[in-house]
Amino acid sequence: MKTSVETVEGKCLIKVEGRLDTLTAPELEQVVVQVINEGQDKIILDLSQAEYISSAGFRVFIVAQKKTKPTGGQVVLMGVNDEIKEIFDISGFTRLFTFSATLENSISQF
Amino acid sequence: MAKVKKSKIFFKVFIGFFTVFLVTVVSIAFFTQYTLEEHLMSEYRSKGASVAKSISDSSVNLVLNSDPATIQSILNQYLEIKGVAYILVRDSSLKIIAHTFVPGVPSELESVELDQLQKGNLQSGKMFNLKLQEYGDLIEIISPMIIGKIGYVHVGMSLEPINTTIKETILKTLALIIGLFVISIGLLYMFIKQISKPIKLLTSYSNALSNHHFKQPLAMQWDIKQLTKRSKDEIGNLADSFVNLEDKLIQYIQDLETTTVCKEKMESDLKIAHDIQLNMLPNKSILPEGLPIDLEGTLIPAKEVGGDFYDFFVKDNLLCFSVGDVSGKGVPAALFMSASLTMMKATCLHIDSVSDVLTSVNNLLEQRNEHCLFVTVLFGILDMNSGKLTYCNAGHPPPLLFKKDGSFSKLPLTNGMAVGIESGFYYQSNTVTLDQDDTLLLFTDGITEAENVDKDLYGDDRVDALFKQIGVENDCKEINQIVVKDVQAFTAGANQSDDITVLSVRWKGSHVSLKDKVKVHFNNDLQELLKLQKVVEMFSEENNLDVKTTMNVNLILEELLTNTISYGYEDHDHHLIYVTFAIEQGKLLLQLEDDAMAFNPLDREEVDTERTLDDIGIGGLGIHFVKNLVKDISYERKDDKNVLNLGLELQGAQDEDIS
Repeated sequence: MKTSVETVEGKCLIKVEGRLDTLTAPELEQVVVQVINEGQDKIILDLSQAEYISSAGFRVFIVAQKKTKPTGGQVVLMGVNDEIKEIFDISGFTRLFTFSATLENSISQF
Repeated sequence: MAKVKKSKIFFKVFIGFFTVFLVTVVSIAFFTQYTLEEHLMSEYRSKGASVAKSISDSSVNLVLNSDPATIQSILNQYLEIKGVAYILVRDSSLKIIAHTFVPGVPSELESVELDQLQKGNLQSGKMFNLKLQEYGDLIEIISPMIIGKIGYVHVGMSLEPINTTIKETILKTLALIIGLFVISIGLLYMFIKQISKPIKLLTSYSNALSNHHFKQPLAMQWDIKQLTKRSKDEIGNLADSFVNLEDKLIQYIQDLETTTVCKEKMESDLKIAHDIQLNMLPNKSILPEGLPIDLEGTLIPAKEVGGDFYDFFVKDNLLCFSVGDVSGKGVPAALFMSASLTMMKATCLHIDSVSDVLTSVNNLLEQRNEHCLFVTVLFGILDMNSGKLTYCNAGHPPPLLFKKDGSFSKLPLTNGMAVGIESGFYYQSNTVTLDQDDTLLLFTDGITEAENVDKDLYGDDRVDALFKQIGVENDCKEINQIVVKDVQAFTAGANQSDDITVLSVRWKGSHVSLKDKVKVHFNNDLQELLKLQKVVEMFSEENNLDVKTTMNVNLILEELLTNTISYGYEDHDHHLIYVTFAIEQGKLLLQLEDDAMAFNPLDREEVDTERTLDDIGIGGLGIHFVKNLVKDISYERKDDKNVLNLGLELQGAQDEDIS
């Protein structure tokens, strides 16, 4: 898994490439927590290049969501592919997150 | 006899003898003749002289009285004296007045006498030799009567009696000498026979010896021994030496035979040991068919038996393999090698960790190792499904890993010391994951330290150059041949200094038949999730599962394995978790089996996704996923093991395949 962080119009865009699983999720968690600790609470997770996400990845999303909520921020999941989206649906987590297809759309969610 | 005659000794002695004899005979003959003749002649002369003197004395008066008749009768009387051939008397005018010749004085005598007369011999009364036809050789003695004043008496003495006597004497002497010669030859023959008989015996004895097998003494030896007792001379000594020679040769042959038998026995034992040792090495044919593995082991012992070994065998989906080299050479090394090999295999059958196998074998070997032998080992276990290789290097030359592109590198050392030296040593392992068609080359220092005739070592440079020749196009058998051929070309003509051992292993990727059903094991290590990913991908590919199902299966198994690995074990030991994939009647069945603490995921409280975010605990998410992704799930605790069975409906690719 590879991650990259950039700021787009005041929002933090974190790109995730590859597999987000038990082994790699701690890495993403570290990045996300650092961003949040730096005061950023508007986070866009670009998952268009993510191939696979296991519960460990979901856990990072939930942690991020929980940490940004109190200050009025949120996590937008961008470009989630159908297979992964189905996992959200099956597991019932869809309603916990905001999904968007494009960057413009994502930015407009805040 | 004939043989003795033919004997050169006899011939030589005979010739010598004969020559001596001939010289002797001739000398004696001449000497006898000369002496006898001298003697007889002088006697004859004096006899003739006395006869002549006597006649002349008694005839003086008669001549003076001119009584020829009386003179004649006197002459006739004297004629009877032996040896007297004739007598004639002359008067002072040299006229014959009486003689004993019948009928008259031979004319030849007259001419002789005239001749002598002219010389003056007649007058001086000398004697001379003459020959008359009728009387043969004669000597005439002349006795003048009163200084020839009255006349002369001529007495002819015949030499025939002298000659006869001489002849007889010589003949008798010769007869005696010949007799002696014959007797001598006889004696000589006896003597030569006496000498040549033992020599002949010795000759045939030595001839017999040259064709003898020397297992027991020749029958002739008894005769030769008798000879040594009989003759206490040079012949006897010679015979004695011969007998000693034979006895010593028999002893020597016996010793030689005993040694040869011992040596043959030992060689035969070593040959059997050699066969047994080579039979300890595995043959590729023992491997089950269809493995994603190519491998080839080659061992060329330097002596009948040696301390190198290689081994490989399959346990579930694991290929266990090793190459080892015992310190020292020959029988001691071979015995230690067989102990090491056997122990490693036996230990490996019930322990899966390379570290634990080597640690255990090291402890066992060290306990009964008074001679402080040791063995360097490279021991590896390759998961043939995932290509994951775990290995320990116990003081062994590092194996090489050949990549598909022809590059190669040494497998990192694991800091292990040779096995058998220090008990209690813990052998660390290292893990690498092989790519498809990666090849491992294990070898012993019989390669790097091979010596040529100039005592140069094969060396690392040659090894590097050699390895550059090896590529993915060579199968393992060819790789071994290339290596061995190059080393043997280098050492051509020199004695092989050490065993040469090469083991090549190529992992051909996961071409294992993952069709329909496969059982894979995982260690209790989160890194095994990488292997899981590969296994799931391979299984999906093999069985045409769609992307979504593939991801779901990966997700389900990741969640369950993560739970078991992270929370299932209270100890830090090594454990295995078995996962079985099966496709039956349009359903994908997964079974997980582990020896972790009893845990039934169905007992977990459901994650209520209807709750708000704040209320959702972040534990239990994985189980929640699993429950939502599978169609059937059942749990049982069996033989202290958790057994979880899961069922998924298959659609998509499976259906398409069927249609």
